[in-house]
Amino acid sequence: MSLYQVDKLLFALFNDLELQESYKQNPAEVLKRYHLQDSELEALRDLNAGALYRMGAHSFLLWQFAANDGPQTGRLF
Amino acid sequence: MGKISLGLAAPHNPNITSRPDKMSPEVQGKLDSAFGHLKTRLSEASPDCLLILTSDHVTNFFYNNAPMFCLGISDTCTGPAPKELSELRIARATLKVDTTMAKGLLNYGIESGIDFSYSQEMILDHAFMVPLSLLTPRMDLPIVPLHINGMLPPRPTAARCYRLGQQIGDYVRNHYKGNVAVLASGSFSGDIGGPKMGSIDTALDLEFLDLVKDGKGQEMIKKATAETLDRAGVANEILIWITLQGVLGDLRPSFTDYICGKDWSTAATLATWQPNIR
Repeated sequence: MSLYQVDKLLFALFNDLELQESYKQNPAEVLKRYHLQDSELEALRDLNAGALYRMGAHSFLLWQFAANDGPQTGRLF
Repeated sequence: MGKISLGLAAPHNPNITSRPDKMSPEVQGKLDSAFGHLKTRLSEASPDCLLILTSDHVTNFFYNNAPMFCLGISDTCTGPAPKELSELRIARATLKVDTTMAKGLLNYGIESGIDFSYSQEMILDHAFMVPLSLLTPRMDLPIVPLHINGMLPPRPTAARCYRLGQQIGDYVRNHYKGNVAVLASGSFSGDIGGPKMGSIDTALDLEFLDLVKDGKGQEMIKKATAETLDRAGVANEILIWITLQGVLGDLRPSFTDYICGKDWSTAATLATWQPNIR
């Protein structure tokens, strides 16, 4: 249950379509609202779901994030 | 008083409705046939209510508040979730909840040792809507949605889920007036989003399916350790099947099928149980 703020962001992006749209337009603005460490911010900006998984983020939320915004699932790991 | 007239188990792999064009004609034919079988049994049983056992897919619940067991008790519930509408190819629908059963079961649980959580705002995500769209496409059968935590570990134990199932059975038989069908929605293994996504653990699936065929609920409980559930992946629904075994008292199924689609990350396992036909 580490990386709570990353999971919290992914959960919000997953379920709040307006926030999802805001994130697409201006990710930095949305990322500011969460208490994220530099390594987490970097992985989110790079859409590096593999790194986020290895840090401990929830895999199902990551998959949704990747499916919506980033690399295809086959490239996640 | 009341009775459990039918048990059903079906997958909710969103590919079934969202990407039918990706299925081979052979897989499509098998799925149509198996779902058709379940739909016919459901129609024949003509229940007053369909109790749906499944795990919320991080739609209603998150680490800020993660119940083990949660009953939807509002007058109606709507699905699919907004995030799923563009992909799932299931029209948004509002289903009537059998609140007599939902609230009755809630109170019975509290009085008899199952501390249910409950919700007046449960959204029906694809785990509910995929099988509903295929089994009751008119969405006109009153439901009771019951979330059993599968995706936000720690999960409830298998023994606890089996006991939950037994208490559901006790409630229906002793306190509910009507005829209930119970649907377990989910697959045995599935690492959706995890590192094993893309491969199906057929060996594990078939070990559990064999126990289901023999009605060996206690063996399923022994097998469903936290280690086995981790092996089965983040989106495994073994506990859902075990809960249904508890409801049905280890009845042997009258029908089972196991279907693997190309490019799927979870297999489709379907089953029916007919308690009135021994």
